[in-house]
Amino acid sequence: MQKSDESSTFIQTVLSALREKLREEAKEFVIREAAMKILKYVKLLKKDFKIISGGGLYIEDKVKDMTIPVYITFRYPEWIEIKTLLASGTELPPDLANECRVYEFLLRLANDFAELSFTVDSESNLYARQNILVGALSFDVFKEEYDAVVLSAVIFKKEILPRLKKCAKEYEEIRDAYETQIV
Amino acid sequence: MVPAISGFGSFFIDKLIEYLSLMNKSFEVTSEGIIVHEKIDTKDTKIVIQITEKWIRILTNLGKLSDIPEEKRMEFIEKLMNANWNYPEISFGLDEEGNIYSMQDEFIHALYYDVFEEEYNAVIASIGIFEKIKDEVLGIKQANISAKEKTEQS
Repeated sequence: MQKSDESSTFIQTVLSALREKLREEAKEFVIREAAMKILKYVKLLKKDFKIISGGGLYIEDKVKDMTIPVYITFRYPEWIEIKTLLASGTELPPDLANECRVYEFLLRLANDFAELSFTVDSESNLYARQNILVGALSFDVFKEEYDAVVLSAVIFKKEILPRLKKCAKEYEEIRDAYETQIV
Repeated sequence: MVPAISGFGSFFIDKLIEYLSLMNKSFEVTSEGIIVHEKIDTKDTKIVIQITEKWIRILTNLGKLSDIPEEKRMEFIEKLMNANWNYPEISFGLDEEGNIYSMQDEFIHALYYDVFEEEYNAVIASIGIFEKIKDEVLGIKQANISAKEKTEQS
């Protein structure tokens, strides 16, 4: 390798490392700003919160006689996630959800009411969830998305859970009767 | 030609027109909302922006649930619910006639360009995700691969 090539390669390597460092620092700066904003917003909304390991906030929101556990976390690098668990995969396995047409009903609700959004993870845990792009974070957006998650949970607990319990009971009764017949 | 709409609604229509113009979109203002004409994978697609008293909804009709064979519908619905989890800001919905939509809602008081652009792009992104899910459930991809392999072998 010639001397000029060597120096050019060396300079490019140094600059590339510097760019990477700056990129990481910029990301850190943006995330820090967003975290500070979120903290300010939950205080403005007078919510009691706990800081959770892994970087996030946990709020137990009270709506009448209901307690809604809300998690506010980062989905790096650019998303903020507000979510609440509605039913675990063991409480509501996919076969029961399908039998009782829960997912279909939730998709209908999402269509009929603004900002209701339900989702299922790979382990069939059911959540109400909203995302905010870090760059689009403002108080009004945060409040709107936070309220939507809480409202989704209230609707699920008040309207869907009782129907689901009834359907699950019927489903189990039918299944038990069917099993007995086979034996 | 934009119809003359007075009052509160026109303020938001003006804002949306400005945003869509900044995004170089082709659109028209109609009585059902603002219709944006998109070309996605050479396919003409309509994105509708509806304005209500409190919300701005960006949506696109993705097709009918009845287009999916009955025995595959539950799997399909489950995958739509999973997609809501796997991709930030992707949200599918179903109306009473069985039309499947991708939609995003924005509180009118939280309407500004960055939020609008992000939500609009989420609806656009959801079209590809929806087609992928549909192909997976219907086994179209697998069928195409098998057909291709068969042709290559012969």
